[in-house]
Amino acid sequence: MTSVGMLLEVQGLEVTFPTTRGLLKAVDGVSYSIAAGQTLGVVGESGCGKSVAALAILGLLPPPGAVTAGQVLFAGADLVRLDPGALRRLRGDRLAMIFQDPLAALNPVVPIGDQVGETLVIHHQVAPSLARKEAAALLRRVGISDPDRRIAEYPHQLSGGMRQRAVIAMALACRPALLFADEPTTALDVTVQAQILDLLDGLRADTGMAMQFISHNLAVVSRLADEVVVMYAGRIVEKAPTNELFRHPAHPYTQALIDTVPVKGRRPRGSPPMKLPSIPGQVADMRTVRTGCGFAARCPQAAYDCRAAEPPLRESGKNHWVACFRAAT
Amino acid sequence: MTRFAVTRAIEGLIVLLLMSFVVYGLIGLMPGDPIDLMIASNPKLTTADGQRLRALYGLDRPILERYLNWLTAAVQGDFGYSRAFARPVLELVGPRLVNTLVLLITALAVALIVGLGAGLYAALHPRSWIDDLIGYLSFISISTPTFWLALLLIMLFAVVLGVLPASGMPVGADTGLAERLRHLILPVATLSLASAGGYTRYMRAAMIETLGQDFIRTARSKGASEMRIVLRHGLRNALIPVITVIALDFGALFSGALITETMFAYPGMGKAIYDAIMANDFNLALVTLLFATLTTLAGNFAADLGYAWLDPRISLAAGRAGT
Repeated sequence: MTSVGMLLEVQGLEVTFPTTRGLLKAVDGVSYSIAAGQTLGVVGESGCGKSVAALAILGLLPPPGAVTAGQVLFAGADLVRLDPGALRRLRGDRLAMIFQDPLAALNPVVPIGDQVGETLVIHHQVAPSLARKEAAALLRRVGISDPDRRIAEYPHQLSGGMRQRAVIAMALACRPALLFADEPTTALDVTVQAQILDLLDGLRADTGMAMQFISHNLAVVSRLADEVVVMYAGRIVEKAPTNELFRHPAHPYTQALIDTVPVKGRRPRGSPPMKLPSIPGQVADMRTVRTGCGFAARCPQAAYDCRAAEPPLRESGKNHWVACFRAAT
Repeated sequence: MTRFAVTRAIEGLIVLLLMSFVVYGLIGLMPGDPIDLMIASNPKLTTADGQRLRALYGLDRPILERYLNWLTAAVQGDFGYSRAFARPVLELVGPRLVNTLVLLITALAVALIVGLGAGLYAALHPRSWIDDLIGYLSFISISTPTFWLALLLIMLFAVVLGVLPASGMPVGADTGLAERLRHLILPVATLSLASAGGYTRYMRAAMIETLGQDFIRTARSKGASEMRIVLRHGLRNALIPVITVIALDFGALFSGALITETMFAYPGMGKAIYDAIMANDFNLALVTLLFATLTTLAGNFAADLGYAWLDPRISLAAGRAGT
């Protein structure tokens, strides 16, 4: 299954949280890969495991969560089995991550410049004063005006959009090969969202880095991603190149997700005008032992076999993978 | 930051002024006055002599006028004579003040080092056996009364082991430093142990909470070492609430110091306050009580400065509000 030229290869990743009601498999046998310079979109509802998978890859799982199976190959090393010190040296240098809420993600009592330049101090032994200068250049690059003044300011003095730009500058300081962006625009105004997405895509094109873009918002993902992975209840239910996925969604869950995106001039299928469809029910309780497809309880097409056995991920078209018995081949 | 400090200092002075009036008024409410004591101790004095003496000392004037007279003299550095000791108040208070400050500051330093250190260690090793042990010890520290702890320490170190003096801190400059330090050990231990437990609990809680914040995860995602995460990103944020608690506790520390002084017959302000009130010594009582106020205010002022230094949101907001 190992293919040549992949920057990141996740194989059978499984993340487990012990809870009082038993083991919770937040990520259950997930496999995907990202080529250098490519953007992979990961979509799904809250709690589907998309963020946990990224945290697991970076070794940032909150205890008592742990990777219980699988491997993550990055630049020839298995990140899961790498010793913590070696993984730490990759984090912030070759692998970087942007988090959802930029205000919470920034330290309130450390000046912006020191935070943006910190990875240079940590990984490249740059003197803090020099790192601050470098931070000003990075802030200018992400479109923050008057960066020489901003480096001395604190997070609460910046606007939401500026904070997210600062967080992006911080992640890019060491020119990472792979950037994980976890809902980087969710906490922002719609107008600022578009600017940040353009900025991220532009920076990715300039630096040639690869990106794993995590979002519950399909519209946002469709703007950036070359390939999209759809996750449901800890598993991948569909995986396809972006255009293919939006043109021919094969899994009922993906179809439902696409239907929930409001599109100007398009009346959503099978629903009265002016009413946006929603997916009935909620994400399955992952602490209970599950047989069959995780989406069966909410799926309009579910039949007996869906509840009896787990549908395997199979290739339904060129590079198009789906885990559903009902999907056309 | 400077503007912030100046504003707080002025506020502190206003509080001190108000407190001086309150304390003056409260002393005025005490039963009897110095003249009553003079008459009682000298059968040759008649009531008429009493009236004459009251007029002489200005005690027949309204309290507001007396207060303003006292204040006018006080701001010029004249705090009057102590009636009971027949010496200028400042000359009397000076060395005691130094003794109390030495006790207070040493005890605070020890309590901070022990308390914050233990709290930090416990926060970084949660649910380890050392964390449990630190937890038990700090609860013992919190729930032990100062005077009882002082008695136990005296029994153990002065009576049973006989290694440390129970009392008799020498007064005067002719005693060596080592001898003074030997006399300081038990009072400082008593006072600091009583406070350290509380500091430990607050430090542990604040640090654990801080380490759960998103920006700590950000620091990890940047590849920061554990040392860097704790010292650079955690500690400063965790200290902000702890500073508040220490400032609030400062008054308790001061009153603890007075009790400790009594237990160890330590020549400080504690005994001076007691003697002054019992002897109806207005001038001495005023100065000693105002010193207690000043100490608490100084503790709060230091906390405000520490707060502003730790948290840019505070000093900057105050600076903006002022312009």
